[in-house]
Amino acid sequence: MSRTSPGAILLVLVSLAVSLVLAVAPIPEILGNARPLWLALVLAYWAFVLPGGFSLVLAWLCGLVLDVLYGSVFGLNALFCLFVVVAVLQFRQRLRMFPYWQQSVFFLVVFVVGQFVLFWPGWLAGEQARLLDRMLPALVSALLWPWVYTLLQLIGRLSPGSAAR
Amino acid sequence: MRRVLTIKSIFYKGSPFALRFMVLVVLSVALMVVDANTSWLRSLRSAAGIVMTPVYWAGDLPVRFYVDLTQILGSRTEIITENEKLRAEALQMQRQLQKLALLTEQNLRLRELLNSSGQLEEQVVVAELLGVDPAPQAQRLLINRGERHGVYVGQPVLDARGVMGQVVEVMPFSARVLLITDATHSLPVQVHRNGLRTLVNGTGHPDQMELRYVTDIADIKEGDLLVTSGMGQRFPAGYPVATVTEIKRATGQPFANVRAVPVAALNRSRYFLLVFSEDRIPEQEQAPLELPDEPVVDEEEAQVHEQD
Repeated sequence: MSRTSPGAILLVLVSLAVSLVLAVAPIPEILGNARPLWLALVLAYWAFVLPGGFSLVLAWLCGLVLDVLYGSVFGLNALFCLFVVVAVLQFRQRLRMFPYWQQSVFFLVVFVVGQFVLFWPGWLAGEQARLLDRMLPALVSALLWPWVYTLLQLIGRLSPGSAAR
Repeated sequence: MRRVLTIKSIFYKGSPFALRFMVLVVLSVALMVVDANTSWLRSLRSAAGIVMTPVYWAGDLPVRFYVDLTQILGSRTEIITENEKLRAEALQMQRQLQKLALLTEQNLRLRELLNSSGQLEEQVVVAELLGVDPAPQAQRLLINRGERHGVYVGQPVLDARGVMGQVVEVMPFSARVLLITDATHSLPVQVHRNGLRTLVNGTGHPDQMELRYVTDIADIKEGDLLVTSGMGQRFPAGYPVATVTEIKRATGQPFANVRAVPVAALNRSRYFLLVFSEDRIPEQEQAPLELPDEPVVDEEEAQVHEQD
């Protein structure tokens, strides 16, 4: 897909908007803590495809928007998104060649470390939560990665004006 | 063999993103420090908060759709019985209201007799739930009333049964409410039975709160109702907060371990009351709390004598 075609830009914006809506949409109580890190997943995908520097700035900005939505300290989610994207950028070439399950493992590690970054202010404030509860989003997101990846790839190929990548 | 992700491998020489990454990280940390310690960014966040309403609204669509659908498809008999039940409840409440009016009048007269200062009327605004804060440990909500409706930071929020929390952030058309069950929230209360004053803290868990500063010998029992004491000038006095569920006294420990369950339906309420106290001005950042010399007096209280 051409990087600067209007279709591409639209897809980037729409996918990010959808991930933001999913990030705040209410989920049934049984799932409780297992909310996937939609924004991180979508940003990770675009980090594969888009030029690196741009992905970083995009991740930072979207992280800030997420901070506004979540009411967390300004810059906290930005830091988290930056971390995820830079991890993808460093291993872009190799990641592309991994089978899906290995990619998932990679993202599991990245998300778990990222979650520690996200949760230390809460921990400082004295919130009581089990470690598993905090790590569940990381696990679920890592499992969702192959689907997000293939879905976005599919939409990218189907959008008008795209050439086979 | 996969390479372990070390700090060095992120910044090996020649990495084209290293500089940009460092700059953005430093910027993020700077923002975090500034936002956590000063209020310079508050107005920026408040303005940016205008993006919240559409996003939360979009997220709420499936829930709203489902609720509407069940209503449309609900059987006629179900709706009729519910209607009757609600009518009966409304009738009950009107009767209680009448009684309340009588009691208030009596209370006013008694106060006059005792020459005590007048009660302040509390105005109330109804708000609806816009969304719940997605982080499960952070007990916070979004409501659909904001700065344009006169909502201010520190304003108490109640539901039909009791105290819910207070407003901590105000956007033009929405506001963020910190619930009393959040780990960072502490509420001055008193035991309804005997007036014993203490503090109740949230734990991050929606159904559990704790009283940390109750001595071993304090007169408090399981089942006691805790109401707001009005200390701290933030929450008006007398509203139900929680019920004590468990008291563990260990000899040798300075404080007993007391747990309580909130009275308000924190997880289920969709409608809330925002209380405006007349002597409170909308929160200003640096101004100290000014206690007025003369409380704003309602017409009914024109005859009240005032003691300083």
